[in-house]
Amino acid sequence: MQFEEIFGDDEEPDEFDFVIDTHRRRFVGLLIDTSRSMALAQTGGMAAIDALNLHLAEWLPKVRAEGRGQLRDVEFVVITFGAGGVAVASGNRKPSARDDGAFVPAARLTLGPLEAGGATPMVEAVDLALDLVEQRRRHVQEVHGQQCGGPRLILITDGEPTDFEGNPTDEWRRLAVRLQQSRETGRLMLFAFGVPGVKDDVMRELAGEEGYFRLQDLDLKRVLDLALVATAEHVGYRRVADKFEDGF
Amino acid sequence: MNRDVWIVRGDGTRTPDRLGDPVGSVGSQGEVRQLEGDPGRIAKIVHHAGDLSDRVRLMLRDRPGWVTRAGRPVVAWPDAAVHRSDDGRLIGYAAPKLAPPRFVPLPLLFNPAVRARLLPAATWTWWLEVAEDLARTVHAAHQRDHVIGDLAPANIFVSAAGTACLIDVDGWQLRDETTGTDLLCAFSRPEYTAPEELGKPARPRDPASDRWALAVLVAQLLSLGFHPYGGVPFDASGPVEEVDNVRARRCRPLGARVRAPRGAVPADVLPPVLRRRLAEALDDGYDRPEARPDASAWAAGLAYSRRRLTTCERSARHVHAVERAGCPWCSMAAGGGRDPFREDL
Repeated sequence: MQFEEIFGDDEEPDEFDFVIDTHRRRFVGLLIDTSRSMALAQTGGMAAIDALNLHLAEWLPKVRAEGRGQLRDVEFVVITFGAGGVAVASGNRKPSARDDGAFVPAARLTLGPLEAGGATPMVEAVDLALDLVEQRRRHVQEVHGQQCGGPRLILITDGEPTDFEGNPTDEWRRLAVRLQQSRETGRLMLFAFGVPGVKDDVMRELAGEEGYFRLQDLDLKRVLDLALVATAEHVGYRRVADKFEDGF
Repeated sequence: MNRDVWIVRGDGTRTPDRLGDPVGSVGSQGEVRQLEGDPGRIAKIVHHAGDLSDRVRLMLRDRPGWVTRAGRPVVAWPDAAVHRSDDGRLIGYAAPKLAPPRFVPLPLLFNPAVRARLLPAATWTWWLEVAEDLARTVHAAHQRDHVIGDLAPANIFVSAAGTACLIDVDGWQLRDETTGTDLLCAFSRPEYTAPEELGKPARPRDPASDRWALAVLVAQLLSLGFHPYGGVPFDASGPVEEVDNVRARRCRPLGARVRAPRGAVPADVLPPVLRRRLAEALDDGYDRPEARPDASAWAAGLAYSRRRLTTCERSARHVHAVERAGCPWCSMAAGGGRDPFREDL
């Protein structure tokens, strides 16, 4: 006796409706730096933003496949900061925590091509992510009766926080306090991945020593692979650090 | 990464092989790779396990007969050590590969859309069979003085025939019969961890901790994936997870009033005999681990329940306990949820 039909590797389960079928959900905010430096930096003979789009195109089907099983309870919200200021790139692309808003189940996560340009309004992007995941938690627990654990934010950057004009700002100090409070009372986990150009001391203040992962080169494929590990259930900073230190 | 390895069996024979593509989910404990020289086997690479060589030695010393039943595996027991070919370092172990079309990971079948495609004709009987088979395997492990520890859906594969197979033996609390000592279980998922072990560092565990997890799992299986400690308290003001309800003793099938999704299986789906077992395990056994029914008692209760089933008038696929006043699957559909055993699926 065997199972009837197995999914093909390239088949995307976009018909899956998760709204009522699971007793819990988890929220993952993916924050991607799309500032000007991502257009200027080069990796593998192309602009960093082009490399990122290329790797995202390979990464997204993996996320959707995991969305059938291990990531079945996960909803993503993707926020970019750089070109166009702070923008929601997932779902209906609006900063809405309602159903069919910015959050989409892992099995249905798609993204259009990202563009690079402008300043690095990282602080505003993280603030927006924190607001949205909290609003989404309330909505899902109160309206759908589904449990929501602590949210996870995954931050990918090659720069330092600026205002919308590109001037360095100290606003990240206030954000660091907010993040610490969210870790303590809201069970937040923040995984920050820095690639060359990043401001290490700022990232350590935001993500803490254990939540900050500094890559020596602009290996965006590796960043995305680590981000997927950081999305998995029961994976803490230590497990990501293990994968970070040796791929074996 | 050097992918060339030696596969070293318990009798010392060595064969060269090569690690292939990753198998399974990214967040799994350790990393699982296909063995290129043998499509039926995988290598599990274990990260940073200090006692790996002791574990592998123990697992290989005697491949126990009880890990197969009626010619099928019930535990994917390791059968060789895996060493790097360049420096000889021990990095993990080899074990049978569980894969479609014979086996799929249990969590996949908690997803109704996947279930409708993989098991279109299954009824509630299939879930009772899986639960009973799992209970028999847990009982067999306990008879050998092992404690499974991380007894959770992510470590269970199931077959279309209603059988279960456990994976990740390296995470068990393994008994060394020659010395009488145990290698400890380092990790268990909190939503399946007995209250006396929650938040505690690794320490010797009693089989009663598995009996807690088994009770949770049986309730979850018979609720098609809905965890017995699922649901949101009406006065919740922050994140809520299963473990919060465990700590507050809020168990929905035992009568706790919580907000649950529209599509949740009714809280009273269990027949009286299994509800009693559940109360003994999770209520009486909450702070008295010795009160929890052992795995053989669960297997007997499940076998008994399988003989006391009926179908409703609306659908031959609506199988439920004879003691239940109405059909739970009809009441789900009537309550605005989805009929999980619809005939047109």
